[in-house]
Amino acid sequence: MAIIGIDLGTTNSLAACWKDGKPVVLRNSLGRFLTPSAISVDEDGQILCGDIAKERLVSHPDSSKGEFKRDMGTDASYTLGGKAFDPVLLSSLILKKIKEDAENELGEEVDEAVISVPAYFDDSRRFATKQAAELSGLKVERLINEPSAAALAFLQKNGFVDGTYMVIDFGGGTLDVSIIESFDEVMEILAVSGNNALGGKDFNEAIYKYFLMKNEILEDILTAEDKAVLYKLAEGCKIALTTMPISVMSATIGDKEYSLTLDNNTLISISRPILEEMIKPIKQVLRDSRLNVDMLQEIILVGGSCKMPIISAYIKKITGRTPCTDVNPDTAIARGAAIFAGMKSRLSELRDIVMTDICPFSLGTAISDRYTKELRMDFIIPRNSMLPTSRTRPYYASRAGQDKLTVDIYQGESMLPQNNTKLGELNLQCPPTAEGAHICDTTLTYDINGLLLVEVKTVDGVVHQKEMVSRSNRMTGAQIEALRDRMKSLEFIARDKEKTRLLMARAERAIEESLGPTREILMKLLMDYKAAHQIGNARDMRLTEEALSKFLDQLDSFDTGIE
Amino acid sequence: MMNPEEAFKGVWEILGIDRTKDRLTIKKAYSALAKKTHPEEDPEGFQKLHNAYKGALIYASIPESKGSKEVTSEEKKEEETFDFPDVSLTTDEEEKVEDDGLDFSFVDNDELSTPRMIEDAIVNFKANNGLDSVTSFKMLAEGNRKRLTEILFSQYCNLAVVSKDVSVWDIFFQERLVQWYLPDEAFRRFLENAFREGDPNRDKLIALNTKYEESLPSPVPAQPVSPAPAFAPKDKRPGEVVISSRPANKSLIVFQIVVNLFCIALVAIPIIILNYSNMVFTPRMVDALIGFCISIGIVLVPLALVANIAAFRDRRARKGK
Repeated sequence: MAIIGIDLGTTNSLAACWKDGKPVVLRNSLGRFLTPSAISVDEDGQILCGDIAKERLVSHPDSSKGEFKRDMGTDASYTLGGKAFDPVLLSSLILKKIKEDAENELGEEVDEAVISVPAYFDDSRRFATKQAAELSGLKVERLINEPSAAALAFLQKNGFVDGTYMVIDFGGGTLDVSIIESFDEVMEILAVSGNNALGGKDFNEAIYKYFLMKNEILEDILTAEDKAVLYKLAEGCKIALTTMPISVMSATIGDKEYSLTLDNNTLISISRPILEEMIKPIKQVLRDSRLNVDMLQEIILVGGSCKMPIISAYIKKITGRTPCTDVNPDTAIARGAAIFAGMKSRLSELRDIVMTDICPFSLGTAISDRYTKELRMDFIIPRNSMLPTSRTRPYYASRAGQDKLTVDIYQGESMLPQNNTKLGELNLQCPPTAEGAHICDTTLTYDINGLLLVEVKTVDGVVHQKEMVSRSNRMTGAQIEALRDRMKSLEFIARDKEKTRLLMARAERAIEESLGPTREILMKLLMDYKAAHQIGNARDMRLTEEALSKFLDQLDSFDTGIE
Repeated sequence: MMNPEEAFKGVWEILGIDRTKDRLTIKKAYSALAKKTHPEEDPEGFQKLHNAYKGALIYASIPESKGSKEVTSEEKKEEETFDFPDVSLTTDEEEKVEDDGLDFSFVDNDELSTPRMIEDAIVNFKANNGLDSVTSFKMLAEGNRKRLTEILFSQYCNLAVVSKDVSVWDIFFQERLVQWYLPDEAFRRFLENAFREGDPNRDKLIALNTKYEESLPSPVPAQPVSPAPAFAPKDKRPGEVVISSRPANKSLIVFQIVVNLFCIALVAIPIIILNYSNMVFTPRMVDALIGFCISIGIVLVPLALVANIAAFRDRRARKGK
């Protein structure tokens, strides 16, 4: 009975296992390490998986699907060969394939696995991943964050050198950045950030767009097959640039031949928005862990996209540090997951390694503000809290004689509950109290397996408990139509209010980015500002505006060591 | 939210080491224990251990510099002089402190020493004592209110020292409680005294003071800004007269004027003579005159230059640093 580590990636997936004192990457039925995360349905209704499906993505775009990891945890649905699939089902097919290949390779049954997920995956996506594993017949108790897995692989290979590391995991579809501190084989994740919708695919897209622009082709005249071919060519062009200084992309559309010559400098200039987007989470983790880039022992690059020379060049340019690329970016995560699987099954060689992970998002409840009576978030577990964690906060009655309580649990960084993901709610009765009197204590417990437990203790000593499993927002076609109609009816806000709205938006953005007392102060300043505007006192408006904008300026000037 | 005091309680027993600021010792103790209390086997025990470890690291991050001690002792000394003329703190009010259910929890807590913890404590403190709204702290007894202000101030002092960030004072001055007291001259005097001489914060306070006075519709009797002329240039107000700290060097000025006049004369006299006199000049005489002027000019012009530079520097030196 073996327990394996699986890297379920956006573009490629692979498995590894702890064997003879080191993590070993397992080959698939084709003898390759990487299994492309793509599914295709052939004419007979049979499922094709891996490399074949990847090829069919180009040839049969209507009956093939890749990159479904990006849609995990959403209600996306695809029709392949006349049948409807959702991302969970497609992922479970990939996992099943990997499980069978691993059993073949190892010669024993595999029934348990540790699956890696992007650190920035929220609860619903994690839940969907677990569901997919369950469907494929694998027992998955634990998910490991991809950057943590990469760091684990790196440290295991280099003999656990003490220090603080930054791991940048830039895969096909996601970007994850985390800060990890290692001391005496005890590893601790200090901060995590990322972008769920940024990856190597965006470079393909950029090259594709550039090709169309240079050759003056209108996108409208292209057929679905043409587009798929061009995407594939763009990807090939990008991959060629990792080893060669110049690459030529040529295609025949209709009966005309088009071509494009690309070098790395051009690639940098056309993908500037992607690179700039990449820097945001890097700054964020440094800010969250209050570190300067010079205090890092090493910057480790993993993930397929980091094979591109422009990535390491760009990171070197903005941080002034040469990133370390000596871990195999393709297999590092799977190897890390395998080490973690070994640790989880308490192998004697891995007994002394301790690794703690963190909660990548804030969890909290919606409360009514004391002064403005607006709904706002009260964060109980701030992001980057170590797991397992359990925190309690007291709450007070918002009106006299309150005898009903609705405890809504949200996940997210926005100060406004409606912008966050609702995980669930608890409705309960309590003895009526005076306004502002203590009404209940809410405890959130987030355990090591990512299970969230809500416990509300009312003043009369009754304890209400509920396990939360997030459900994604379901939206029907009618709702989407309604939203569209609403969009049309919306008008631009008045010119003189733009400044005020900008400051509020800036404050809200900063609230999402910040933590702890800074966040509290920001929320208070923003509420003061809003209250002053409601009352309309000129002096208060000026004072609160000054206070808020000064504080924001100060926050934005926090020096992460990156320009 | 966890009470910061509790966070430190038992930290050292859990880690099994003596109170220390040595991060390496703390980390070693933690990593050794973490292997015994593995998170896979004993998640609750591990969480306790981890909390203790984090607490110890916070303790270790308290700067040991005398800086923080200095301010604390000084601010304590100054607190005694913060005395409103109409109110005196009586024992009755001390008891009332308890009755009001006010929270003075961090009055003598010098363990709070990371910016985060202090900010936290300030937010807690304000929430617990209802300092967030004017109406709620208006209800407090004057003595309590004063005391709370003192505490708030001392916490901001700590915050400024620990975070080494002067801009916390901007937030301090935005505090409602501070805004409430700011019209009071005694309070402003107290604040001014509390900031040490030469402290950059003092500059800020003075600037704020002047701004505050300007914003008043009917200005209160202007308070002498500062006895220290050192701050004058930064917040120079229109109409402010610069008073020189030492008298001008008279001989230098006379010298400068004389030399400059000679220079002008040296150019003007030959021109006047050559153009406007009735004398008839032979070319030889013109040559001689010009030669004479140039030979004097060689000496005089550098002299004038030196005199002008000296006078300019002198004047600038007197205007203040």
